[in-house]
Amino acid sequence: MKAGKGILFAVFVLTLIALPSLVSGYWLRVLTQTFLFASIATGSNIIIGYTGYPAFGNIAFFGVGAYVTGVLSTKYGMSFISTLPFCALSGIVLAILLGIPILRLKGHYFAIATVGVMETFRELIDNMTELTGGGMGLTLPIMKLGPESIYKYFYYAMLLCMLFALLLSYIVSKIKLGYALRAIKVDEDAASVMGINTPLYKTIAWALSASVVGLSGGIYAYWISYIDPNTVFVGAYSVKMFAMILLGGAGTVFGPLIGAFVLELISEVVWSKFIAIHGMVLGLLIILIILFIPKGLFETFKGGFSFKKLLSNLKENSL
Amino acid sequence: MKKLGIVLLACFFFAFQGLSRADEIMFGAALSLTGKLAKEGNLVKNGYELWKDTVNKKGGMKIGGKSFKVDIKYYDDESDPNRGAKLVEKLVTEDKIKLILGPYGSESVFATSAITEKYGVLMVQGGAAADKLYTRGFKNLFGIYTVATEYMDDTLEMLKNKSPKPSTVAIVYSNDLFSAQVAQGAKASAEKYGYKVVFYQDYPKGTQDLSTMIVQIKAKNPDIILGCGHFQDTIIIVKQAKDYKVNPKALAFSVGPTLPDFVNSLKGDAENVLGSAQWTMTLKYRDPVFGSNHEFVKMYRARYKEDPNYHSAGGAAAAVIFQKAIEKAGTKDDLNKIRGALSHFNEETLYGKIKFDSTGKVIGKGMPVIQIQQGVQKTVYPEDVAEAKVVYPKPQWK
Amino acid sequence: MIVLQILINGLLLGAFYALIGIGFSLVWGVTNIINLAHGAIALLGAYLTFFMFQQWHVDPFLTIPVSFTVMFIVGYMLQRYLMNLVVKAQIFILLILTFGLEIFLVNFMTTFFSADFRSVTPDYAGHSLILGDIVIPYIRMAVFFICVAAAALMALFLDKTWQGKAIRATSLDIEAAMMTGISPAKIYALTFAIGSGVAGVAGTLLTLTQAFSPNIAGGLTLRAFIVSILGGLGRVEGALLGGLVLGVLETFSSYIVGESYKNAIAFGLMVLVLIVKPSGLMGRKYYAEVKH
Repeated sequence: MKAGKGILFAVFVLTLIALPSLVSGYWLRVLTQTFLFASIATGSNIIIGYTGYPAFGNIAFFGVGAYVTGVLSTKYGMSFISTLPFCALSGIVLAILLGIPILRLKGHYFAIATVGVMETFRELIDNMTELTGGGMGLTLPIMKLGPESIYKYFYYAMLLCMLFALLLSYIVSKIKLGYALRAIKVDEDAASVMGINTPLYKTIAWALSASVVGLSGGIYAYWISYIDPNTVFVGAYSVKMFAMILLGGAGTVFGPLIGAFVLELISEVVWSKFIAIHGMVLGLLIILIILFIPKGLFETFKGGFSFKKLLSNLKENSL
Repeated sequence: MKKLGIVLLACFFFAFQGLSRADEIMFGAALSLTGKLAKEGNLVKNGYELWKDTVNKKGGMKIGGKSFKVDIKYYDDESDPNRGAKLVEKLVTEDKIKLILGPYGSESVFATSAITEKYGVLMVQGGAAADKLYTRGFKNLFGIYTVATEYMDDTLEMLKNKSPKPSTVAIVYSNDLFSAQVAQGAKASAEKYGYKVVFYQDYPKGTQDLSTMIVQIKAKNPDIILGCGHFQDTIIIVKQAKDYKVNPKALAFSVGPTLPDFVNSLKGDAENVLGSAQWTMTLKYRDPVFGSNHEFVKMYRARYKEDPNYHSAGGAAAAVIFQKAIEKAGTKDDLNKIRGALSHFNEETLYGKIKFDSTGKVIGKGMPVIQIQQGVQKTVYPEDVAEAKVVYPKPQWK
Repeated sequence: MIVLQILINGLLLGAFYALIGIGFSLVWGVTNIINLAHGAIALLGAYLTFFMFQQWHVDPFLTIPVSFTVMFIVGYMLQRYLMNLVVKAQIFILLILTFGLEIFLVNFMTTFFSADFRSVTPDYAGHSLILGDIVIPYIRMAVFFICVAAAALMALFLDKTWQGKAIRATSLDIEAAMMTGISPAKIYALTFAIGSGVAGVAGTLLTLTQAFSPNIAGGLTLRAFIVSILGGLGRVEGALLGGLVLGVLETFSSYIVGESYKNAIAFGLMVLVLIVKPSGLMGRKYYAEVKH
């Protein structure tokens, strides 16, 4: 990281740390949600952006993480903090077990297999009524704190989760693993020929990514305090996450974070102006991002804004 | 930093204070105006709007001899309970509104009432029926829907003395919070009234095919089939019951037959199906704001060019109850007094005679039973408000 | 006897799943686009039928050509003027694009047609062929035959006509196809148009057997997914087989394991097939794997 960027990032983090004493509960909530998406996007970027494996159903780990916290805290009386390592662990274990067969698949097949995994998990949890409450959902214990303190608590918890994701992503990008993953992304066969143990590295990448997503699921469950299969295995979150990664720039450390902030804050501020048609606006917005800035805002506008670049992006991928 | 924060906060505070006028009472509501619950959300909103305009036309709310106009600030939760919670937070902390009208849907009320409870502001809701809402020890939530576990009770009570006497019941339900509770309650009621439950099974929410279940039910040949699910499941069950010639003596649903689309979608196949209703257009109740239920229906028709159903009536009734409690408390700011007035509420409204128990749920209101007869919903139970006699047993499919 | 009845139910249901899957599988196999908006496109066909029935009492079966033609045109436009612009990009970009389209279409339908559940019930609905203990509803039987006939027509088209051959050639080797004078842009558009047209027909038939609203679009797309994976990409026979397998699997798993497990079992099987035999039960190597 260059010094200028480092300072900018430090200022950004310090501002976020100071914010809770400045803004209202509503904005704390909006920011907490933004951190959540930033965590998911940054974590998923390790498998999606670095390695080039479109894990469309990565939200599966989010759902499982949420239920790990839910079940451990309601059925086994564990405290919120002590459930979190298990959330991360659930992601790691599942990603390794699933990764061995599924990571052999490529492209669409991998994407769809992950969607299949997500739907299977959702349906299974839906049916494990004894343990998970099934379709009736699970109510988590509410913290014995005042509303203001609970808010700040989860704000900081989610912020930490996001910083953890960033740190992990940063480290991965700097070590041998990161180079191996990029090699796999460019040409997996060539990487394999060069002596990179591709199955091992892919699995590690997915496990790391899953641990972050699982962790954010756990925090989310406790924050929202009521979960059911349909609110934690949400296909729409996958799409949002992808849009964020694309908007900010796939395969970069800070891209997904920036994408998350831009998209979440835009949606918060702009959506309320389009109450009746904001769904259509969101759909159009995604289409436009894909058409004109598929490489992310920063890659596209490195040398300043220009329509020419937008058009050249459009031409590049068309038939 | 801190100073700046205080200044900023003060600015916010004054900016929003400036918006609400002194002679006005602001209510807030975060409803599903888009997304999968858009229809119900908008119907509830219609109820709120009709109430608001009716009250304002009559000069507003009377508190301590003064009149106040009422207004409602709306947000759209996009049918996402989490978003609803966020918006109620916005209503409370940014718009400084302390009187919250509920959203539609159990999940949404569940999530948003946790917020109102955190801030100790009041919510009256006419849009959710899950029992679970009232087992959390909340002090600030009041609901006027008869709860899920009591949904099918009146239907089973009505049928128990009919002849030929029904003795067996099949219960099928969608695997979600509300429907599962309706089914549990229905099973308990069935056992209470001496029926034998011969089939009891859930199906995935939003399923597109129930032919296997229908064939299995046919093999049991039950006297009564109870469907506890959602509108689309109800349509599938009726269509497939006819396809496979399943002929119970009574076919009853928790949700579906009360909606006008039921007859539009099923045409003649809807005949003689029974439904549980939170409310029907023909109930003969008086109302402190609209005059009577009948008047409410007339005003609703005049304004929206369609018949009201229990969603819109529930919205209007929740607002009426909120208003009456505030007027009785004689204050628009002292939440403790208003809360007290709500807990001791005991008045007839268009929704029935409303009383709350200590958990905030309505008691003794019951669920009127309707039946589709010649393409029209007729109230058939309780007998003192019935418009028509129930057709029983249900004629066989042709 | 009940087992036979459930088998028949499964086949009747499966034929409909096959019809949903055929177009999806063809588009995927030829253009390498996973069209997440497939379910939404099918629903547009369903709404066409619904409104024609409601306004002018047109028999739902007679609206099949209308749904096909309208959705064919819509599909052609979409591919020609939207998808073709990004078709060479990485696959997840395409996924997101079609999802953006899905969100747009679903919200478009919600705004203009409302989120109400709709269904079409003509006078002859609910009549059934009764053979002893076995009941076969006429409408479902008609839907079954239409689905099989549509699949057969499509197979014939791909095998016998010049356009069909061009589509297959393009899916095999786009460069070689271009050298013989085939314009991939047009062939892609044609493929997507056919896929959408068939989806429209599936939508029309959907109105007769179930209730629908814009929100079931995602569920339909997921079924199309499973059918394509089970059957193998780009192959009409494969999709037909995949649909029937899925239908029978669903009805039997709800009979044996329980109704609420049927989705879990269907998705589980899909993942298993992906792992064990990604080319599907009938997929030939070339259709799916040349691209990667």
